[in-house]
Formats: sequence, structure tokens, C-alpha cells
Amino acid sequence: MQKCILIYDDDLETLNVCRVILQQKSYRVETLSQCENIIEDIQNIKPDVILMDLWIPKIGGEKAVMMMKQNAATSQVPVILFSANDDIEKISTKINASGFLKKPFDISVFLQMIEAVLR
Amino acid sequence: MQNELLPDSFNATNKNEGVTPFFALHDQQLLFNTLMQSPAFICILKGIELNIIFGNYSITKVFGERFKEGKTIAEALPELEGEGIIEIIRNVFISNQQFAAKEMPLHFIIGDEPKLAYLNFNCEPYGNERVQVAGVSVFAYDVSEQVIARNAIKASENKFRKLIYSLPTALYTCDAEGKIILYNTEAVKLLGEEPAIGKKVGSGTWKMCNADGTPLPVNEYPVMLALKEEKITHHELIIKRADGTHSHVIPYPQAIYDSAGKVTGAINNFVDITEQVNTRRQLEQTANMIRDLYMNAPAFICTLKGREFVYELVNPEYQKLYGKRKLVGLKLMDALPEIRNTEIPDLLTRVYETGEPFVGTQMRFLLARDEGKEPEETYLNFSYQPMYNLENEIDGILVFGYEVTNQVLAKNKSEENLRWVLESLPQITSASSSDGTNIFFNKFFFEYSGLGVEEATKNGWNSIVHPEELENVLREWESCKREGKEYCMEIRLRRNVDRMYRWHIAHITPMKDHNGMVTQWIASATDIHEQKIKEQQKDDFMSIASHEMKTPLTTIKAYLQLLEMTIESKDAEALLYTRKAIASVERLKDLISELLDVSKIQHGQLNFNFSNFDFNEMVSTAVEEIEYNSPHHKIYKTGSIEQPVYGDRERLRQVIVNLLSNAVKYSPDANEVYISVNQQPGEIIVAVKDSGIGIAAVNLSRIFERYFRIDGQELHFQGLGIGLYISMKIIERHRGKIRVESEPGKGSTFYVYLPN
Repeated sequence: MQKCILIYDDDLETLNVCRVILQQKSYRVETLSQCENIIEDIQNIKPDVILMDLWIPKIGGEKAVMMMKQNAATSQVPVILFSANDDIEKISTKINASGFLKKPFDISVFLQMIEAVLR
Repeated sequence: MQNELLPDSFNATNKNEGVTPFFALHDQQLLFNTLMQSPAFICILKGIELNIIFGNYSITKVFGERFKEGKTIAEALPELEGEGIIEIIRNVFISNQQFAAKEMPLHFIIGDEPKLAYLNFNCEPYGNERVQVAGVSVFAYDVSEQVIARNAIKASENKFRKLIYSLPTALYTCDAEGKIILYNTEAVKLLGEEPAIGKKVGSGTWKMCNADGTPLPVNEYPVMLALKEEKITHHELIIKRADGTHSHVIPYPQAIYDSAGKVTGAINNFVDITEQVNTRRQLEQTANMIRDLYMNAPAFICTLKGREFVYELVNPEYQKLYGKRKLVGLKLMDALPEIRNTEIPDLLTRVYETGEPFVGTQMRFLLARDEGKEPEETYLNFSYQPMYNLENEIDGILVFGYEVTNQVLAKNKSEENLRWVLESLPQITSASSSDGTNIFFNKFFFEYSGLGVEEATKNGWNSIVHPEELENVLREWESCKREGKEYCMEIRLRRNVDRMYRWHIAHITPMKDHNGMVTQWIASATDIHEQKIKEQQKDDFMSIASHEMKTPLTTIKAYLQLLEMTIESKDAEALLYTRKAIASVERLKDLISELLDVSKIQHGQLNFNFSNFDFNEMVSTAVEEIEYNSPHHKIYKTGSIEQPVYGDRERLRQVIVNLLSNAVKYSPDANEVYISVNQQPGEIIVAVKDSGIGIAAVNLSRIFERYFRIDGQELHFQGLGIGLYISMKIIERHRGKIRVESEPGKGSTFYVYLPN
């Protein structure tokens, strides 16, 4: 079954290139630039993995992940954090993310991480 | 009776031949019987041989068959040979001279027993008509008893004398008139002179006085009293010697009686008690000193006797505590009924029973100085000490102490002042005692925190500190209490009105007394929220800038990689260009990161996250990264660190990556880089070695500078020149060191020392 990856990032170009990379590998990709409604989004889209940019405006990636992790209906979805921020490692442990990816990333590393989390 | 052996004078048969008969026959018989039965020893010996012709009953009774007629005296009493007596008797015969002696000692053997006898002895020659000397008569009687008795008396007298001389106490004897007869060496010492024998007691240079120093009349001297058989009371007397010294003595005089019960003299024995008198004086002095101390000390002192703590000795200061109230002789509980409900009775009983003293400092008492008066607040430092009797049992308590009310009240006043200051300062302050118990919060604290007094006292600041800082705060507080030092930290405190955490700078300072002991802790917090936010915004700017720059980089790199994958492998040129572009993107990314780091370092904002991590794994990751980006170089790793290392894993990885990438960068013609890790006692040593272009000695010290780049090199090496600077800062933050050894043309080795 085709896996669905939901990507949150406020930069459109980043979203585009990610989509291209993932679609090449036959993943279904959904992209969003705002994450306040993450719970709803998850319930609608039902992704297999979420890629979350920390520097998303409004509530920020960290808070959004914390929200969905606290919600029983959505807490099971694995999340990979995505950021140019140095603290990404610390934050990912804190919010119980399944992994993290530093920007700019290496495509093969990116794909490996997705595969690993989907398994 | 006729006996030719008897002297003519005894033989009355010779009628009137020029010899006058002694007695008439009748009288002769009487005389004979008398002689025969006389208790004296009488015998008659004839001729020069001294043949026995007669011996009376006394002789025969004592000597028995030995003394027989016809034997010579020598034969009869052979034991007398050598005594000289036989020769004396013979001499009487020869010389016709009488011999008499008193108390002659002669050794006889009577009934096999040797016996010494003392005899009064008389030996006379006698003659008859034919010869002038026909023989001798011997008349002796035994005076042994008297002699022996007299000798015994003499012997016992000698013993007596010896005893007296050797007595360790002074002794002398006198006669019935008080004239000195005898004295011993101790008496000489005591009296300071040799008493004159025969001189009356009291006539020497020494004098006797009463114990109070008044002179004693001679007729009251102990021996004189004894002679008069008057009652002798053994008072203490003083003997004053001629040289001015004196001794204290107790006399023991005794009258001496003869066998008739008449006083013939007296004997006096002195026991020298000078030392005891001196000791007694010293004790008295000491006792007086102690008494003075008790009475005049500026401290209050009293003694409580027995289990019921009866006031025995109360010094004036103690009495002052209770004004005119009666204390001495009363039980403590009766004298001061108000202490029944305090802990004092228990304290006293505990001291009494365990023997452990009690010390109370600045204890607060309510003392009613007089009956009926209001009790006043008083502060006392005092101690209860057990007192021991001669049997080493506790029989009382010594109370010693002094009032410190003024000091305590003054301190309280100064505390009041402090409070006032803390209250009026427009910031949150609190005070706690030396052990950390919260005792004071100013009104701003309560307003800010919204806490109640009880909660504040119980938890203090902990209730409003941000959870992320709480652990740190508690740890630092413990450290402060232990070391008595002050501390300063930035923490977030929750404001009650909007439940927002606001940044404060918190100070904790100890207040110490003149001995350097902490008496209180003062904490204060100043709101720096606005400033902190601005700072964070500045922080944020750098982060935002770097983030913004990295965003397009992300897409560039991703597209380039996609491009790389799209280009057919046979289009080598296109592939090359793409790969080069990708490499540049990497460099740009590194440069941006470095810039951000430097900016943070400059503002002291470089973040560190310390934790325990696997060092080997971290190094492997770094090695992998570099190897991935530098396909021409092989990195050889040796050594391993067994225990987890405490540090910032990410930052240390940054350092290793920096060193490895430098090693690769600066050895373009070589293809090996060596990294070794080593655990030494107390530190880890990492060495990164390359065989590249090396560094000239003149540059060695400067390569860790911020923007230093080596000039005039053949090849231009990229980089901002800040990689080593950042690495050094990171290592410094780990309290470690970084250094380099290098030889131009041969290569360089970088050493990192990390304390562990």
C-alpha cells in the first residue's frame, strides 16, 4: 500500500523539492505550511509519517508535535523533525520524535530516514 | 658426833688442847643441823686435792650423787674446770687467804642441763692441831634470780631506749619534776636543739604556744600536765624554734608509774601536723577564693543540692534575676513555681541522671523578678553542670550563666531594620535561617507570587521557579549552604497575575557573624524579563538569519542532488558540474554555521548540552561524515574509551569533524589521516595526525586565533579561518586543552585533552 508522508514547512520551495524526491520513490506526499490544525490534518490525511519543520510560524513545530502526541487519536503517528536549528537533537528527544533531519539535508540520508521510520 | 674430817672447832672431843671449842655439843649439833639445812651451798674440802669431806643438803639436793665424800671437787663437778673457781679455792688453801666474791657467774651442769648460776661466794681456810691449813670451807648462795632479773631490766631498758630513739615522732621523757631524761633524734629536729638532760622542760630555746600563737605557760606544757595527772586534751600546739621557724604539733603525753602506782615521770610524743595545717590553710584559702568568685562574678551562679534541687549557694547575680524572692534553702520548684511548666525541670533531671552537662544559648525566659510582678522577656546563656561528692556520685547541679538580653534585643532590632529595608526595596526578597528554613518574605514576593504565608514558608521560591530551572536552583542552593558562598543565576519565576514566567536575575547571599558563621541567607530577585527578551531576540536574529540562509540552501542542495540523479551516467561533464555545485553548497552551509557559532561565542551564547555519551560512537560518526565527503582520504581510527564521557556530544563532534576536515584539507597529496583516542588517568587524549603541508613554527601559536589564516601559501585553502577558534572554545568549555605539533612538509598532529 502506498505510504503517505505529510510535510509541514513554511518554505514552498522546500516543500516542492521534498515532494519531487518522495514522489520519485512512489510515496504519496501531502504538504502544508501551517500546523495549527495538526490534529484535524492527521485525521483527514491519515499520514504514515510526518515531517515537521521547527520554524513554522504561529505555534511552531515543537508545540504542534507536542499537541498531536498528547492526543490519543494522533499520538501514534511517527514524526521526523526538520530544521536548520542546532537544538534540533535536544528538541527531538524532548518531544519524543522518531528522528531528526538537519537542513540542508542529503537526499539519501533523507530517504533512509523515511524508510527506517516507516518500517 | 665425831668426824675427823671436820674442823677441830667442830670436834668437841678434843678437850681443851689450845683450841677453844666453838660450841657446846648441844650447840654444835644445832649448828651442824643449821649448816646442813641451810639453803646456801656449804662444803668442806680437805687437802690440796680439795677432797670433799662434807657437803650440805643443798649441795646434795642439787648435785646428787656427784658430790660424794672422797672425790675431789674437780672430780665431782668437772664442768667447773676452766671456770677458774677451782684454782681460786686451791689458792685459798695454799695462801691461807680468804676469798669472797659477789655474783660470780659459774656454769654448772645440773641433771644434764647446762645452767648458769650467779653465786655470792665465800671460801675460808681452816686448820687443825696438826697443820695450819687442812682444807677450805666453801660457802655460797645462789643469787642468780636477782642477777637475771636485773639484767632483764637492763635489757628491756636498752630496748626501750632504742625504741625511743628510733621513733619517727618526736619523743622525750622526764622525771617526776619535769627534768628531761631521754629524747630521740626526731625530738632534736622538732625542738631545734638537743634538750639538756636533767634540765627542766621549757628551759630550752624552744617555746610552746597555743594554736592561735599565744604563749603557753610552762606548767601547762603537756608533760607537766601529765605529771600532775591532770586531764590531757590533745590540743593543737605550736612549737617555736630558736631559728624562727615553727611547727604545728599535737602532743600525746603520758605519766609513767612505778610498781607502787606513783608517778615517776612522764613521756611525751609529738605528732607533727605542720603539713596538714598548711594544706588546711590552702584549702581554706581556695575555698575563700571560690567563695569570692561565686559572690562577685559578673555571672550568675548557684548550686542546687540533691534530686529536689534545693538552692544551696546563690550568688548575688543569680539572686538579682529573681529580685527579692527567697531562694536559699528552698526547693527550686517551690521557690519558682512558674518554672514547673517549662522544660527546666526535665533538663535538670536529665543532667542529674545522665551526668551530661546542658548548655543553652540565648534561651528565652520570662522572669518575674519579684513576686507578683510581670514576667520580663530575658535571654540567657547558661549551663547546668553535675556536681560530684567524694564518692564520685552526682549530688547536685551547678548553674552558671550570664544574661544576654541586651545583645539579643539589639540583634532583633537590627533584624527589624533589615526587614524594613527588604520590605521597601522594590523587588522580591526573602530571608532564611542558616539551615535554610524560610523566615521572611517581603510584600513584593507575596504580590508577585500570589502565595499564602504558609505555602511560602514551606516551599519558598520553589513554588514559582520554572520547572526547567528548578533542578539547577535546588542544586546550587545546596552547594551554597554547604560552602557558605553566594550565588547568582537567571531564572524564570511565575507571576501570579498572568501565570507568565518572567526572567529574573536571582541573588543569594549569606550574612555572616564575626566568626564567619552564616547566620542568615538573603535572597533577592530582579525582573529582567524585558532585557532578556530583547537579548533573546538578538539571539533569535542570528538564528533566524542562519535559518533563512539555510532554507534556500536546502532547496539548492536537494535539486542539485536530484539533478545528479537525473543526469545520465554517460554525461560525465554534466555530472561533474553538478557534483561541484553540490560541494559548494556544502561549503556554504558550513560557513553559515561557523558564522552563527562565532556570533554566539562572542555573545557568550554558545549553547552546550552536557550529558553522558558514547565517545567512540561520536568519533565514528565524525569519521564517517568526513570519509563520506572526502573519498580520496582514508581515516584510520585507533583506541577506544570504555566509560561514558560527560560533555556536549554535538559540540565535541563538531571539534573532531573540524580537525579531521582540516587534516584532509591540508594534505591534498596524501591519502591517510590517523585519529587515535586514549584514556589516561583523569583525561582523554585525542590525536589527529596528517602528513600534509604542516605549519611553520612561527604560525603555530596563532592558528587558534579567531580570524587567523596563514599567508603566502602555495595553495589557497578555503575557510573563514574560524574553525579552530570555535574548536578551541568548545574544548575550553569542557575545561580541556588543544595544541598542535607540526613540521612543514611533514604534517601536523593536533592533540585534544579532555578531563574526564
